[in-house]
Amino acid sequence: MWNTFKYTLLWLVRSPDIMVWALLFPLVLTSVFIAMFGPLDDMAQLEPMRVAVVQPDDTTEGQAFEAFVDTMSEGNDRLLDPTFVATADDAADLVRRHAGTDEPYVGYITLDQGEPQAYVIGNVSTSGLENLESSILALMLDEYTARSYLAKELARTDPAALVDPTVSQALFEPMRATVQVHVTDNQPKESTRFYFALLGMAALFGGSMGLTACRRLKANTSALGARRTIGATNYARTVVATLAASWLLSFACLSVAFAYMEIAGGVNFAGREGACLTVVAAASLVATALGCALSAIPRIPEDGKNGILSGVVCFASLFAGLYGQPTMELADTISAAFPAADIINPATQISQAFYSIMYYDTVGPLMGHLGILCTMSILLFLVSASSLRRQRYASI
Amino acid sequence: MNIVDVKNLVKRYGTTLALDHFNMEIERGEVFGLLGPNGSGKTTAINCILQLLTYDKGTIELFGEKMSSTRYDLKRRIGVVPQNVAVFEELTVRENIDYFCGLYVSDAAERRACVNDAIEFVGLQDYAKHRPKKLSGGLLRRLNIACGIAHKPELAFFDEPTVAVDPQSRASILQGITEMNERGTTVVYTSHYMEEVEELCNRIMIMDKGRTLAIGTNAQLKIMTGIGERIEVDVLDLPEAARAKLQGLDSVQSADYDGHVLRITCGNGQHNVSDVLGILRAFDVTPGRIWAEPPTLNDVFLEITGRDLRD
Repeated sequence: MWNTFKYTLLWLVRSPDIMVWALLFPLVLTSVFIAMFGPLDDMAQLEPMRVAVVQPDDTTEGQAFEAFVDTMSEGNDRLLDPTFVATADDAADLVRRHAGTDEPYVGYITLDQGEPQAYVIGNVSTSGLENLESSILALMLDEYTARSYLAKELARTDPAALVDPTVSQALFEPMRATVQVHVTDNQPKESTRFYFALLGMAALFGGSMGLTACRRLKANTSALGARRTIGATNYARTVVATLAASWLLSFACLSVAFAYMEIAGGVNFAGREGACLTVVAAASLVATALGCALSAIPRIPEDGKNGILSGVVCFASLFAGLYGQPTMELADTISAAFPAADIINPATQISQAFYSIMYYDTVGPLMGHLGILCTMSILLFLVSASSLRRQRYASI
Repeated sequence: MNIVDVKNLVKRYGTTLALDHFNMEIERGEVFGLLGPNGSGKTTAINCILQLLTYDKGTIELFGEKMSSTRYDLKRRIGVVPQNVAVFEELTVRENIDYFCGLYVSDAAERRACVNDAIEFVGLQDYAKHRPKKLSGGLLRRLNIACGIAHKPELAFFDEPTVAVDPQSRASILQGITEMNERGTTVVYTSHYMEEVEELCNRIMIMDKGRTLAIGTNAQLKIMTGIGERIEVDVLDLPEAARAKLQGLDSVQSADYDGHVLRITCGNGQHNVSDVLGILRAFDVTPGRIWAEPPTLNDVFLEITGRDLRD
């Protein structure tokens, strides 16, 4: 049994066709996704803005402005990453020198006669991110101007009010009109759905291992199968060892794709790699079972079965949302109208299992998807069981 | 005790009768030749014996015990060299032999020795690390054989093992089979090359349309069919009376003259050549080149199975 397992693993690893689909293809597609979605994710992820700040005078207004800049530069959700310089010329020079580098400045701000002024660089990148940052900077300074105006007015019309700590606190603390609540454990990225759908597709392409392994098991589909069937090893053991090797290699290939996504693609799996590998294991199992079930279809040439597998994988991936926004919307519409379509789609189940790891703080949804994947595997293995256990044929 | 005992085997493919109450008995230590035209049922018979094919009727016993697909104890004693080369393209020569030997021998140390012996037996020492696609047709056939016999079986089936190999490889393969038999392996050998069967086999069965047509030793088959030698004599002018006289001999089946060559087909006569020459002398015919050929297995085969072309 070990001998069969070892050599099945070896010949599968050395099969270029199989490794291209099960390993190389997901890696290439992941690389394409990284190249495509990297800038998109950067846009969605706002980093603290690098600004040059002209050191304000040691006046009350100057001190207030400096305190404001310091407040905006503190904490995990800080908006500014300031660099204080002595003069406006120094600030302009600093901004100019860093323009076009990896760490550019949005511009510089200065306090001119008590009024904050922002000087921002023009739109130089294709992402247009600078426009967004300039707008945020302008909003911040507008808010500062409005509050300092309010404070001045209060000091002029009702100085006693400023003594009230609640008023002064309201004036100088950052405005919190809304409360940010995360309904999921992790913040979603625009590209996440593509990566998860890709994992679904990559897993199912691993079915080619199960398909090829089964073809070489059965006497009626290959000369190798006939030779193995007449061997003196218990045939059931040969089948189990062959399928175990197919599953393991499928699991290994998908794990590599998963690791590549996380390390090179920066895809967030919420630090739950263990749970992710459990999904990878279940996904590999369903893929192996799918290959087995396809191999059991009678009266179809073996090349035809490979075509069917590719068709099934591509079709299933469509409803997992792999092919872009329009197909995602189509998939969502179908999913809403026919929830059962999701349940019978292994690519969707794999993709949603990863979602449930990332977004839920309980394991219930994950277990649900794993349960469906395992049930699918059992059903597919049952479909192929009568074909797999057969040792004698009416004709070969 | 017969090592192979097949009785009244009937196998149908739909409405086609592939084996029609087929019987076969092979004794331990024999090299048994199984001959038949294409589609005669040779491979079907072997596949039924190996339990790859279901059959409609009949019994199959190997080593005195009823054979079934789960009789792994019996399968362990059998080696099979299939007609088509069946090896893993992705594995090396050594790995292939080790894998197939592993289907019969689980002990790693024992298997290693078997694999080394098999590689040496088929002369693939220099190619042990090569993959099959790097091997020539002859070497590939030798690998196919090594995979089938590495576990040192008591009974080995060779299904046309020398198809498309060069004469050197063929000679090597036949020599190897002879050596195996000398070491105690019973061999069942099918081939379309009559001279191979003639050279190798102790006993020969000729089958067609799923039935046994004849069985016996090479000599017995020739006697059975009544075929004697063929004689050709170059003669410039042969009187019709002489030809008729020759045709009238008891041992002559046919005597034809085309104006240059006299062709005579004999039955089982003792002095065919001298009888023919005696008649030629009696008619003052001076013979030129005289050529006599004893009957071959091919003649026997064609006599028994007919000369009609098969699919």
